Amino acid sequence: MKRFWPVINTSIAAIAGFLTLLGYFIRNLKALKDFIVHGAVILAAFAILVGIANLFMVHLTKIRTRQEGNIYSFLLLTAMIVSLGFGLAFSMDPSGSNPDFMQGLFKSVIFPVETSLLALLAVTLLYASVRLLRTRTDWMSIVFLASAVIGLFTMVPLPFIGEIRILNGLRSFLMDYFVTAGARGILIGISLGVLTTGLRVLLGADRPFGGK
Amino acid sequence: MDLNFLLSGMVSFLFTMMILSYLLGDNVLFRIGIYLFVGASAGYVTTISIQQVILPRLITPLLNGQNIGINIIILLLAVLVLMKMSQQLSGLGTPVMAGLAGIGAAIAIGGALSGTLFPQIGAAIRPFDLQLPGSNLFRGMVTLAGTICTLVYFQFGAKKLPDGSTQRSQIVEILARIGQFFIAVTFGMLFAGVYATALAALSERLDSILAFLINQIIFGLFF
Amino acid sequence: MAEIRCPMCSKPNPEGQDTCQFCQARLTPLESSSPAGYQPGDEPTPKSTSELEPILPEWLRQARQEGKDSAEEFEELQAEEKPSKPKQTDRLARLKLEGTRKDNQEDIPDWLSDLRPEISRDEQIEETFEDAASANISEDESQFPTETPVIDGKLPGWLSSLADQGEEDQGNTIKTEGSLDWLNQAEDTPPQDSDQDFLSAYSEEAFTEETDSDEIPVATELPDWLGGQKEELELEETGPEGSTFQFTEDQPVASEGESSVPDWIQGSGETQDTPAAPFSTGAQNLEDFGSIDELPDWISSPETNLEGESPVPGVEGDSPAVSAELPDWLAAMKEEPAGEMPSTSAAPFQEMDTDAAGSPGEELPDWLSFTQDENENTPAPPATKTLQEMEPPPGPPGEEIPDWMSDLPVEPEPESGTTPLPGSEQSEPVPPAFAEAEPPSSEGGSLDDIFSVDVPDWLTGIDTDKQASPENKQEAGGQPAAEDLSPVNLPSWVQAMRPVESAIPDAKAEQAATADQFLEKEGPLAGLSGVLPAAPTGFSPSGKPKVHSIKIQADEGQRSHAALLDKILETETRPEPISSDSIRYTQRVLRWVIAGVMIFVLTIGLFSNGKSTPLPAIIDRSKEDTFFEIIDSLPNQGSVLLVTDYEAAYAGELEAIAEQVLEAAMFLKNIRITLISTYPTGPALGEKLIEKAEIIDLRDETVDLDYTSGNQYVNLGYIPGGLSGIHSFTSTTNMTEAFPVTSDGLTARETIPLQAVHGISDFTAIIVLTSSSDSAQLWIEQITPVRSTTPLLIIGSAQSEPVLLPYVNSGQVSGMINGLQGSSQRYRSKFWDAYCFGLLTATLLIVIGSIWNLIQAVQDRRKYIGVEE
Repeated sequence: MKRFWPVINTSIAAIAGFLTLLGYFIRNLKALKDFIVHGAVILAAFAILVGIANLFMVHLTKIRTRQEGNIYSFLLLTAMIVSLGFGLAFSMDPSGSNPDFMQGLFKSVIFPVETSLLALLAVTLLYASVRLLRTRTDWMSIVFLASAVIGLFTMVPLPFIGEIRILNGLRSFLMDYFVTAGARGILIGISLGVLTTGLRVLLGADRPFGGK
Repeated sequence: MDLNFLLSGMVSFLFTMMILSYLLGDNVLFRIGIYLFVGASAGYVTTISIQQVILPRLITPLLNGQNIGINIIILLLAVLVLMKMSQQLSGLGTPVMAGLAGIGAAIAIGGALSGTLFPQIGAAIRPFDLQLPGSNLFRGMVTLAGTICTLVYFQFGAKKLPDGSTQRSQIVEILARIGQFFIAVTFGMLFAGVYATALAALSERLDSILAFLINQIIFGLFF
Repeated sequence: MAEIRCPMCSKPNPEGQDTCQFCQARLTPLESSSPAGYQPGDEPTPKSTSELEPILPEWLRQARQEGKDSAEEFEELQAEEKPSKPKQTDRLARLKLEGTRKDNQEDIPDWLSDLRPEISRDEQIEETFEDAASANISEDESQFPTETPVIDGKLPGWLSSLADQGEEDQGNTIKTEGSLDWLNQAEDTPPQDSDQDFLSAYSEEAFTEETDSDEIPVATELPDWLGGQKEELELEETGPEGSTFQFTEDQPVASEGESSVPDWIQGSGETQDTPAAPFSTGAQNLEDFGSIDELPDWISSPETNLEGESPVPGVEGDSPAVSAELPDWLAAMKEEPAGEMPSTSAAPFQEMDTDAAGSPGEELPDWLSFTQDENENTPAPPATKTLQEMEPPPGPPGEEIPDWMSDLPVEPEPESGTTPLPGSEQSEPVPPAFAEAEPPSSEGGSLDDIFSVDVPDWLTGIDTDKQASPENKQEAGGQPAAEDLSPVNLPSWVQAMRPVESAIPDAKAEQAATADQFLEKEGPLAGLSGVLPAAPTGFSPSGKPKVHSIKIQADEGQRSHAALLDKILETETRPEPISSDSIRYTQRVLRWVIAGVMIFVLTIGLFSNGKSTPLPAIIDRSKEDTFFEIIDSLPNQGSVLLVTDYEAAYAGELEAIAEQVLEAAMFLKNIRITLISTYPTGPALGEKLIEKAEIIDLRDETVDLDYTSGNQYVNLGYIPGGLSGIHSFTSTTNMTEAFPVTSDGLTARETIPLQAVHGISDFTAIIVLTSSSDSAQLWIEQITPVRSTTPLLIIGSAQSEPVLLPYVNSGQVSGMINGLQGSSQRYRSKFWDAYCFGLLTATLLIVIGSIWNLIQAVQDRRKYIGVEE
């Protein structure tokens, strides 16, 4: 029986995928497709719970085995339990959700931290671009940097000076001709890759769902 | 002043400073801030998932007797997905995950075909239709050439030479070089946009810090 | 200190040890009670049969006893019977015969088979004994008595037993009555064959299982050739040396108490009417046999070469005189190579019971000596002069062969004293079964238990109390040994049957003479020749392996090359110093400088409040224009789908853009907003956006639009699954059924924004706020097939602009604004100055730094190239 599980799993993936695809073209199967997709959305929420549980267990093990950095894991688990506990407690309020706690958590912890992390990028990206030609000196690096400089320089008007028409035209030229072409090629390439990967999953050549 | 606002402001300021301290180097404050953020985010996401998806779309209709058959099936499948938490029982959830993967692959195929591939090919051809307004032959040729060359750059099929090395054909090499130029320009522009975004975030953070400090100083000085 | 060689590994071990200290094999047999060990290759130690009596199996002892008791019955039966074949007197001999018959009917003693090679064994036996029983052998015709000599009205025991045996045997009975026609008939056949047939027939008769074991056949009369000679026959105490007379399985055991010597032995040539019963279990004294003078000339002739020859008449005989007088079969037997003489016919004559000679202590012949213990010395009747000339076999002293036997050609004793393997084809005479050097024991009482009362006296010396060797037990059919068996006390005839080269009398000599032959001296194949030699001398499987040197043998040239290679590798593997901390410190300082500069510039820009930098006006903003045109064209209280697919990190930028757009749309058009997101933080960001947008800062006043959930806007919350969730949302035709409850717990169909909305195409506009091109791409792909005429607007971060441009060009996206510059056409953000200052500063830093590093890189490369050159 163990030997047949991979075949069964692959068959399930293929059947579900082909039914969904047929729902695009066959009107009678649209309802079935909608039902399948609707169920998949709800099951995806449970998959998120599995991921969170795995995160919990990893850090719990780290604390239990007294690994290096277990104090940070303790802080993580504490924050998780507090946010989950208060969030669920308030969500069970029959009078309606009390978003104060969740909004306060979001405004005071999640939002500033994420924004600050992105703000750090402004410094690190600048530092990396300054040292780019030191580490990699070739024509493509120069072209890349030149394009970046032109994009940065032409993105906004010059302070106290205003816009410069030539610079604006250069930016438009680059954007309309080169960037559009390059981006289109990348998008088509991505689409072809998605198409190939999806067909491989449906045909059983790839098994991203795990198992042996 | 609202206490909640003050408390929220202080916590926000604290976390902002903890994260921005990374500019000075990796330190304990930065790590504490990161780990608290991850924990809070994990709890937040779990609460959102339960509160806005599982309860209203599965549990509540089931308790209300709406679409019992469908909801029971989904509930059973959900239980199998939860088996993935256990190492011994994780095999039971694999078929459900396989189904999700198959559904996602099918939707991705449909979206890629109808949402990107065909429209973009059409957009590459449209400039050559002189009857349409805004058509520009030169622009079409350049963009078409650029698109093709960009695709050729990602073509890595090559012949094996007698000495064991691999080399693409000459024309492929030339087109790939041209495509590489297009890609470099695109990525340069992309980098500019990314930096602009980061700069905007930094500006926003600095603005919030300044606002908090100024308000607190003023509040503390005068009140 | 004496050492014991291990039979397995052949290593010396101190005496007294039971197991080998090297391979843990037993050094001494478990049941061994004898101090002397038995090793392959050893010379067979002549044993007296009487000494081995105690080791006889129980059934054999009973048979002997019964034989005694029924001797009389046998005699009576024998008298009434037709000339029948002589009975077997010895059950052991019968069994041996039977075993041999089973193994190989063709495997008769060579000396016997040579007598009559063209006649089958059974036929030979039948012919021999039938003729012998019915015909009288005249002295002229045959030197064998035609009649069994009758002594005291009785056949010699050993002959009478054979006569009785003939009744039961169907195929191999030997006629024992009356005449010895078999002996007459033997004239017509090669002496050897006839003699062998005669002997083998007797031996078969003696050992057949069909015979009545309880009855020990007793010959009514001895054949003439056996009668009247016993007084003069003396057996040497020791008997023929070695295996000159070795009793094989085919040979019957001489009966006890056989007292009459056949005429052919006596040399009288008298014929007797008694059936030929050379072997009888009747107790016959040796005196019954004729004197030496009466022995046939071929036996009594001094020219008879009895040295190394079989005592069986006709087995050996090199002397021409003997050959002339001896029957052909006997003469031919003399010509047989020494060493393998069955000498069956001599068996009853050799080492006869001392009782036959009238003196106690007489020892059994070799073929009977297995029953004797080697410790017992049983004097044998004095041997004839011919036998006296024989080399006495090893054994207890005192054993003598009868005189009538002394003239018998004695088979030379094999060097190894062993007999060939049973069943093996032998061109040479088979050595006698009992390589018994000791004469029969003088203790005739024990022997009486085996043999009948008619057993010659010279057979009565068998000691029944003697232990039998394990080999004897095995030969007797695997019967369990008696309690007092001594495994090591093997009778000589058994020892002679060991699987060694001594089966061939000269085999050992031949092997020694042959340089190529390899004689294995140790291990389980000890004594065998022609085997593959074992491991070299000194090899011990349990020993430690040899220690070999692991040093490489290299010459000077190789060493020099190796040294050169070491030098080369040394330079390659030499650790290089890690870059000093100064370089890292420099890098850290650079980062601090950049951060400080940027923070300073941005702070200045924040303090300028966005009024230092003019808004962009000349840049081609088609897509932005379109965007605003669409916003401006929204109907009043139109339902707008607002997708907040961005992360909190991008909230600063996107909120700055979207806030102003929404303010205008909310303030001017009073649009109904439906919020949805595929990000967990999306609903919260949407709520935050609405909160900010509803408060409009006008020039003179601040207007709060007071958008409330359920009335002006509704938040459908979070859709998990990414692409699947988007597809689920965009493909639904009943929005309120797919999303029955809002994020804040309101019933969706009861909210105002969703009252007229069933599908995505029912919205007046779709605005996607996205921070990454991937999310926007997913929405574009899923909305495109279903949106029909609903415009799709994108508010994206600056980083998503390059990738989303193709979608704008393709018409899939109606309008798009990216970054603060996108919204700056109409709206000025408070971050505008900081944003512009920061971008300009970054540009300068990148240019300056890149030029500096480019120059440094070129210089480093030139330096590296110069070093290489």
